[in-house]
Amino acid sequence: VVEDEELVAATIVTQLERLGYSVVGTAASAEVAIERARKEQPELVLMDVQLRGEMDGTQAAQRIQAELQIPVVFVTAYADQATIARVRETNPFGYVLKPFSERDLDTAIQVALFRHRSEQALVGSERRLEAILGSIGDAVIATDRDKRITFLNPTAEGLLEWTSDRAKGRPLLDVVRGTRDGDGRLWLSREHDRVPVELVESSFSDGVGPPSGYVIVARDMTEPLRAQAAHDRELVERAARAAAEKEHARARLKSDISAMLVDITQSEDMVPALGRVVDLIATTLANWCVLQLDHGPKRIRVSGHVHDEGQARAFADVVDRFPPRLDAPYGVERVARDGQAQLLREVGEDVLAQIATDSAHLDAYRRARIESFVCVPLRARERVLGALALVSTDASHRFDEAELSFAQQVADRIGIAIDNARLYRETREAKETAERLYEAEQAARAEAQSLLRIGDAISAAQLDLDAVVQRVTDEARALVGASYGAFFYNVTDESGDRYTLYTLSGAPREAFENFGLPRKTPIFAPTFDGVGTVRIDDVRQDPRYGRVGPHHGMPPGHLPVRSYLAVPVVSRLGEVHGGLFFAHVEPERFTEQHERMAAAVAAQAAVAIDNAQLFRAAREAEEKQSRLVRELERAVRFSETFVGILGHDLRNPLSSITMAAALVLDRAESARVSKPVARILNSARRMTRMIDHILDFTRIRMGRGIPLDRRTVALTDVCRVVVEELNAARGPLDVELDVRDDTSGVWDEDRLTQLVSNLLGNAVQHRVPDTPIRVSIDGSQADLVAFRVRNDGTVPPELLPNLFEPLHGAEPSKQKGSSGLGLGLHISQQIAAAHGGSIRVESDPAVGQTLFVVELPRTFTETTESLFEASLGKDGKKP
Amino acid sequence: VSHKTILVVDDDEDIRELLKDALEDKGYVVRVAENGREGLESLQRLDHPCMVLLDLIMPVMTGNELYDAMQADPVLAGIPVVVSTSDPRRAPAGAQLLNKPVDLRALLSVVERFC
Repeated sequence: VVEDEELVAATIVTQLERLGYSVVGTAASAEVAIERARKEQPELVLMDVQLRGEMDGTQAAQRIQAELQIPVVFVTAYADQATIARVRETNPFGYVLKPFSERDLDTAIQVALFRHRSEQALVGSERRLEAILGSIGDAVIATDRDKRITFLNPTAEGLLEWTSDRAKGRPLLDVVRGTRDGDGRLWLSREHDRVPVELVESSFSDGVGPPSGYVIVARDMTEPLRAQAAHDRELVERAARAAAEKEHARARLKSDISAMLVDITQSEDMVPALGRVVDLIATTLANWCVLQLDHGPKRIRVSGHVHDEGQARAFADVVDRFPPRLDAPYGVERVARDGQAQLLREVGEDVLAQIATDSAHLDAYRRARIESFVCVPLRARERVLGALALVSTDASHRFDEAELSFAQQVADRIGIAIDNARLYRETREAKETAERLYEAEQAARAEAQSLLRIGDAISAAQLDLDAVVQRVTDEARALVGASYGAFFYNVTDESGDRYTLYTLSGAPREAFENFGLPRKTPIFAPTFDGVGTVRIDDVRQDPRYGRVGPHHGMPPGHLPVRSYLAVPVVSRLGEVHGGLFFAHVEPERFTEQHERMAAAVAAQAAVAIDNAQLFRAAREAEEKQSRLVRELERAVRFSETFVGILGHDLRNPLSSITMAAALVLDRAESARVSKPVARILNSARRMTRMIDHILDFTRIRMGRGIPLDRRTVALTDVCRVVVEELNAARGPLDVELDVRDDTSGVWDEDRLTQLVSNLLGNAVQHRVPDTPIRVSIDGSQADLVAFRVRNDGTVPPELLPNLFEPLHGAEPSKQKGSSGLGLGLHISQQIAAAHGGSIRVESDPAVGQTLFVVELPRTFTETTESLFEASLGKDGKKP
Repeated sequence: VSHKTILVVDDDEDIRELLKDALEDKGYVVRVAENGREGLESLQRLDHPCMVLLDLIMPVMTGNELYDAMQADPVLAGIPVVVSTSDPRRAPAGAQLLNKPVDLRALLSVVERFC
């Protein structure tokens, strides 16, 4: 009881105690009142409004109520408005005006206590709520019905970065601003960042009717998301590691298998290596493994090792005791046949029934407890070699597609290894074959070289038959490796008598000299008859041996012979030249190869003998021919000498006649004398020309050609001299000379004079009388000079083709004024030819003219000149 | 040197005498020889002629031999030689030629050049 008037305080205490309340104390001032209330914790305080001291009753009541949650009921005598207003501000629990009755007091206290208890209950629940809201991790946002914020719990304050006081009364969306991302996740936008959140909204109402407010629970998802992400990552990593470990294990398995497979490639027998591979597969991939392989004619079947004894027996039963059922839809037989992989995740009774041949087999399968089955074909180069089967007896390990694929990879490796082994083997075999062939070829080459050497020897010695057969015998003996060899051969001498000679090799001539020639005994006959080769491993054991007396075998003193080889030497024409005989002191020394080589040598020897004989025949023919040539040469020499003497001896008297006639003509004083003397002189000159022609013609006929004495000379000069001579001899002629360019060349001046003289004389003789003769000498070409003589008048067509032939058909006697022998044009042609030139004639009746064209190269060719030089040198007629 | 003396060497008497006759007609002094030997002796013994008219084919000593002997003798080598032959190929290289049968005009034109 707070009352500064002591009497009033005592009265109130009495009244209260009378009413049954206990009074813990009284206070006369506000300060004491607050202290006592703090100390006594009364259920209620009766407070006088007017108190002495610094604080009045209202102030004390405020502190007590706020601080101690003790309800205060005011007691005052002053009921003025100002007091009541101040009292009301303190939200008092009760108010009693003085003077009051006990009942008034009691009522006021009872109401105040009730009200206080009610309020306390409410405050408790609010506090609990507040405590709950403050302690939970979720942000809680409360709004009124208009979604204006009424409350934020501390988590919400932290999350939203708003204080509850600041947020209060604001529209919810001002404070909670969010966006949704592509995944539907809600992000809360804050001043500097954004936060993933989850929102749960609920409304509440006072009863029926529209919501009176909303509660939004927001959860910050940053951490949960991070944790989820970490968790997910870990899961992924764990899975990856597991996969990598599995992959690694498989890779190691593969590499182990590969290492084992190398053995397959390199070993003769692949079964042990395959066994190791299958064991490895059985212990790593499965519980049991079987590999079946058709390897050439063999079928290889290898089982992987199984640790469980009982199971091992069961598998052995399945595989070994029962023949495979060929029509089984599953298993190595089927896969090896059609090349299709099989995967049976679960092997049930139905599968076993399809693969078992009978009930015992089925029992064996049951005992093997096959749970899962994989079978893949063994392939190499698109060919199925066999199959690889994997069996799991572990119900927790059932094969899947990945294991099928892995098994196929392993099988493919095995297939490649097997194929490699085959290739390796084939390569090795091919190499061995090649080496054998190489050796054979080397041997053949050596043999061929020996034969070539013999061939060389034979051809080098081919002029001399004796040398040929000796070389053949020596080389052949060396070639067949005989102790000694002999070559008996027939020859025909010049008188046609045949006789037999022989050469020896490996033995002195004395060793055979006393025996005479071999006769046609059964052993020798095939050789001398040219029938064929005789090869005997041991001649003494041969049934043909010793059949002919007197010696019945080798004569005493004969060199020892065991191995025997003889080949006939037969010419191209089938004539037996003789035989090659080889002997060895030991038996079985001659092989088929030796026989072949001896036959080859015999063939060469036959050719050599043929050649030698042909050579001899040729030499004889040549000698005969050279005899004829010598005789001919003698005749020629005689003829030449005769002609030379004739020429010389005839010319001397002719010279006398000519000179004498010329002298008489010179001295003649009257035509009576000079005219017949001129005829003598003319005839003597004609005769001189005829002799010249005969001499030239003889020379040409004997193939000696026309000798040339070449000097540089101009054809024009030659021509002018001839024209002058003709004028002198026959009186002035009408010759038109047309010269063009340089007409010089390296020629024989006398011969050209002869040529020009012949052609001009011919033209004069055959022209239409008193017509001009046109001569052109054309030097416009660099390498030759053309000389043309043209006259009116034609050559009879029938004479044209042979005009340059000697004695060309014209009757000599009718050729008035000519040399009379018909040799002039022939000699002219020969002169042109000797100079490397040519002569031709054209005679055209239509035009009525005849044209001779001579073309002379300015210089001579080496061959032309050397030809004539040679002929001269041989003659010895030129210094 | 006798500028008008000519030595004719020829084994053919007809020719020898005709040549002598013809040349003497033209005022030359002509000595004759029947073969090379006589010709050489004549050259060695007597005055040198202004030229020698030489046949080739002769007994005892041929014209070629005489020519060679003259060329080998420095005293005789300078005497002009005209070779008269029916076979010019036999003539010594470098010798002046006169073909047989001898043409009188040709003979005189050659002689005029040397004598």
